[in-house]
Amino acid sequence: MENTNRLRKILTSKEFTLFVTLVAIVLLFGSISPNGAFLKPRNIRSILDSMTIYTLFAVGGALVIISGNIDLSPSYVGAACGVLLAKLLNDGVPWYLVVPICLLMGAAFGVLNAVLINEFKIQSFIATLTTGTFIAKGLVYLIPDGVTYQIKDPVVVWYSTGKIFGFVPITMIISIAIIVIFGIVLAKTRFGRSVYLIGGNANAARLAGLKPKKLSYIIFACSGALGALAGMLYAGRLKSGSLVGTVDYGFPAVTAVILGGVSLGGGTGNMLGCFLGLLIINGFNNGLLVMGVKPYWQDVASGVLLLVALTIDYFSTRERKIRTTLSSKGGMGQ
Amino acid sequence: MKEFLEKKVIRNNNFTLTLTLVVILAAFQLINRNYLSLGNIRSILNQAFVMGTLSVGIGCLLICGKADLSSGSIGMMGGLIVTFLINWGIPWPLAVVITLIAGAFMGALNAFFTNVLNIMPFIATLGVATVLSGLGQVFTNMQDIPVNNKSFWALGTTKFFNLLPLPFLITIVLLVVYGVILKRTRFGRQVYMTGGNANAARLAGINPKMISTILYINSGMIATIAGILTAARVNMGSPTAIVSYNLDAITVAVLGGISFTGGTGSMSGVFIGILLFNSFKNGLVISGLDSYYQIVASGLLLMAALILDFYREKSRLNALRSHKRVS
Repeated sequence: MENTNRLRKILTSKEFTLFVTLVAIVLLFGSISPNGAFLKPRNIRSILDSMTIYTLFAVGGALVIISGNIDLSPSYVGAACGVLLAKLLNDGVPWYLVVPICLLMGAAFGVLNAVLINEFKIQSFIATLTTGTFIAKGLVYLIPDGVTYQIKDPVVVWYSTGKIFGFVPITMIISIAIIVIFGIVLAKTRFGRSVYLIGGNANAARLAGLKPKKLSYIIFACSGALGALAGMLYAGRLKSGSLVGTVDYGFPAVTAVILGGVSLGGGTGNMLGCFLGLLIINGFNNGLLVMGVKPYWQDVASGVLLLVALTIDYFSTRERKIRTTLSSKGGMGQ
Repeated sequence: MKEFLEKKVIRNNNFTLTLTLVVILAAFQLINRNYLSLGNIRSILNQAFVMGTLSVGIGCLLICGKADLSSGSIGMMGGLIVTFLINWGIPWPLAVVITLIAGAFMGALNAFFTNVLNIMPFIATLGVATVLSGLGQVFTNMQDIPVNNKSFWALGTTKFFNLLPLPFLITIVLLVVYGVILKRTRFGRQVYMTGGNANAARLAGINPKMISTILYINSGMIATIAGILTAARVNMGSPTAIVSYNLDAITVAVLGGISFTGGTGSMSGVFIGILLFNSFKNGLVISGLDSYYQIVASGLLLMAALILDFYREKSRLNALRSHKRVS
């Protein structure tokens, strides 16, 4: 009895649906890609490798969305931190100072977002869009004065482009470590439970003795710092402070998060789902690439995937709502 | 006196905005004597029409408590569609009408996702915007497509009294028409009521979903007008044009006093917002400031508008509260 219940719980969970979707995508592209190129180890590594930057944005994004807000600035903050990294290294500042400075700048952007949202009651969507697309994007040009600096620092180049055993990139390990750490923090710690609580119902959380405002500052600072980390790794990989940087990475990351079962209303979702969502999107895009589809279609595909994810989200939350109302009614009847 | 000040300056948004506009005009005129020359005013108006037109549709939606991030992409698609149709030999007035209908369909897409599937408007319209801008790239291979039609070109380049460009005149007409609809008709009052309190509106017999559906379709059509006018002005359809004006249009609407929470604001405010934003941007260019600073400065302006919006809303609520206490 216990076992069948558990099995049923697994089979009806969001993660299982995602897993099935992922398997379907893998089977589809695995069978139709020329010479099975999709399933070659090199290609699988390249899928995982292309996920690195998205993963970092997705972790921050999921954290913020679970807490009931949304953060669209990290991709721009990441770009700004990437050029800051290149500029400071070029000015001769040692890497062990530059890296914390960049992380701090990312966190500072997060705090700025939190101030706008908590103190001035601006909707998180528009507040983070403002700090991202205007302030951070402006800084991307202003910091290096429009010049693309090369990154030559051996340590930064090592951790950004090095591979362990000559096969597994260090950046991939960093990103997987981050998603695992935040997964554990969310699932197992007091802080994690508070994030879910304020996302589910901020008022109830306040009454339960939590401080939603303070938590929101911490969450946004984390999101900004993760964005900065992503931007630094991106710049390190390119070995230059690109003026475009991670700008285009933010939206697909949010898509992956929502696809991964983190509901926009806040309070639900986990990092395992996010990871599966990331695998689905990157696998899908990579599949299109392997099939030789024009890259412009990827934009269309990610938009369609987002809308599909939102539609699934709508139907599944509706089902859950119906189920809870039904069960509560049943309880009343007894 | 204090009461007078509060009423006239803080709560009467248009007064504050006009004052700010005058200050900005004077300041930039002092920096550069050519700022208020005929040629420069014309160039300000020529730049203003895209975001001005978009802000009419977006403004109505914001008043109704909904958001739209797809207008820019719909406008871009509108420009492409009209270009393709004209190049296929369809007479331009017919092409314009077909494009408007296409815009209505794209707006209806937004309405479907927000009203039928109850997805947050911001994210739903963002999804629609991504799909559309991706499709724009696919259709054109990221190339600008020239339009081969002289009379269509006139639509974008005609100017009156050597000062007022036709596209901006159309913007003004749209602002006036929608201003009248919002303030003087039953439908307009329903829009304000839905934005102010959708539940109360429903209890009063209004169908909030119907209202926002109409407004999304309307916003799609207005966005294609911006696209058509842009295509006519630069004589080509571009897969990257207009998309970025979406945020500017929101900025202008919020600057003009339309609250993000819905239910307040007016088209006259939006008009002053348009002039303010564009004079500010143009002033930065003409005083020789690096173009990178313009991005940051626009952001600061938007942030200032949002913070002003917060205080405005607070004073409105305070006023309501004190009023209740008296009665």
